[in-house]
Amino acid sequence: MSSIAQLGQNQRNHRRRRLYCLLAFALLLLPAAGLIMLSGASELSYRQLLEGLFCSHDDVTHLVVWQIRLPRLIGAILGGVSLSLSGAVLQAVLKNPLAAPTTLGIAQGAAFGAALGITCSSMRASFPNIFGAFSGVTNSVLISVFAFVFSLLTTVVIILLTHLRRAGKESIILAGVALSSLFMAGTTFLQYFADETQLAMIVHWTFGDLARASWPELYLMGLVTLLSTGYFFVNRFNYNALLAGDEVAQSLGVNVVRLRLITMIIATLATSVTVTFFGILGFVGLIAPHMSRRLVGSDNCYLLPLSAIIGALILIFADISGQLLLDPVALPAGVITSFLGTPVFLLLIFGSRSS
Amino acid sequence: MGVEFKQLSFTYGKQQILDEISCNLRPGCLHAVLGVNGAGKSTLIKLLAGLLYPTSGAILLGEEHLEKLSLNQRAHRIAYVPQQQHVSDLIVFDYLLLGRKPHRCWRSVHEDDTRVFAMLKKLDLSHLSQRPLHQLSGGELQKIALARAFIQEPKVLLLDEPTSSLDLKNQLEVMEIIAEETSARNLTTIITVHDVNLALRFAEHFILMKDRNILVAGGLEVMTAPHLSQLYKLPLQLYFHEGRLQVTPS
Repeated sequence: MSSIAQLGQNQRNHRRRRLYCLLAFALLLLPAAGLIMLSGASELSYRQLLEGLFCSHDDVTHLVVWQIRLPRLIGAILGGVSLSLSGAVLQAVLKNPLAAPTTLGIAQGAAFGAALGITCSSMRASFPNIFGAFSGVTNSVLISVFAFVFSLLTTVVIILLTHLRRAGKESIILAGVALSSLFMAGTTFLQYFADETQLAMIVHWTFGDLARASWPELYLMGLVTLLSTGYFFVNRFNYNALLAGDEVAQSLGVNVVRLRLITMIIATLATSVTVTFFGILGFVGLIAPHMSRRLVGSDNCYLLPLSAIIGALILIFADISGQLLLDPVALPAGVITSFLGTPVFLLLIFGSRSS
Repeated sequence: MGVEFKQLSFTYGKQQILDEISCNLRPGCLHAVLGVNGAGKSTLIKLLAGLLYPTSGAILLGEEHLEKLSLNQRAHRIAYVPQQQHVSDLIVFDYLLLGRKPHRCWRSVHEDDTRVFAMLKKLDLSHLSQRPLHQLSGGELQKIALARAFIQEPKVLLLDEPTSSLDLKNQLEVMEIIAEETSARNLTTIITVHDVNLALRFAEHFILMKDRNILVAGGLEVMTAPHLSQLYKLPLQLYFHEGRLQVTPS
């Protein structure tokens, strides 16, 4: 029974099972991508879609496909990949299943930054002396910069706290929760003093919406996602080594402190970029890694790619359901992920045999 | 590869844990570090593993200074197994592949698999290969952790209380594996152990640690009733039973 040939066969089967799981989900991306391209305010047939994609006879169709549908699809994929991978690696380096972009306060930091940016942008006309330096910057860029700066600031504070005070890995999540509350209080404060237009803008910004990003923003997101994904995949064996404990990982040649720090910086950077352009897309970074872990286990060689695929799928389906649920009103994907997130997450925790 | 530490000191905050200890450890020999709780045994193991940095003194692996080696160079020479193993849902085979980490670039190769298969077979653990770590018993987990260390192909093996949470049968099995592999691979093995009889049965060299210092170190000749009584602050007596030296409280 346990000859080396048999052992080899068992291990090959084990790998094949996980690979098939990856392939199955990757194949699901195709119909999902087709659906997101077909759903939206204006009716498009398959034929029109293909024509819009590859020929430019009909200007309206071409515009709808290239400026609305395709950016949404690519945004969903990039956002899903970066949020879920960030969640997966943060869970690996912090050894905490609750680690995710939203639980660390990064998203809330971005929301506060955006609220501040919106307030400032509407004050530009009244105080040209103070905001003169930003005269060449459009309001949306200003809001994005504020959102990005504050989400990065959250990251810096969390990393500093953990390094200066040598806090435990559990404390990082607690620090994230505390920072989230602080930023939420700050956002509420700004909302209280905002006029109606500002209030509407602030509230609208926090709804994570995939339709928000334009091509230049998607290029930037694509670059950040590519680089961060590359770093995470190169380190997949190091993340596996962390599963055996920090000391064992270090004795296996992993620079644990450096890995944890760089991973946190890159993961939060990728999250910041996504949140800046799309708003808050809650739970994706938490659910996608958990679902993947249920399917392929904790081996990061399979967990990371599956998390990325499932993250993209979740965002695509959230966007499609947002388009269809209350048609003709299109709900932002962030509303759907938050609605879906809670029951799915509770199911994952309480439905788990091992818990 | 011999291990030598000279004038090794370690302080944690203001507390001195080790005070200028020196010793020479030779390859192919099982060294047992004995002492009461808090004597600095685990600290010594972690210093030798490069997980802690000495306040002063030097550690030599053969001719090389430990501090001058990179993390990966250390991982080629030293394997470390902590007292408590972290469990996860990683299956045994994938966990054992971690032992090949220092030897490979960025992907797993067929040769790595072969080494893992061979080690599973050698330690008669093949039936566990597809089991998740969290389903293993304490004894199985300890053997798998040892297998991971052997797969790392080190020259020096550092084990922090490898038998502390095991039943009698597993204690003997684990110690037999350690002793066999030590001589077969010509390893410099250093273990911390509380069970003096287990040390007497398997180890060839003993380091008795007391009050931040080495009380005495050497072969079986240092395992005398006065030394052990002084070490454990307890009157102990030694006797031969079926050709083996044994110790009991008198």
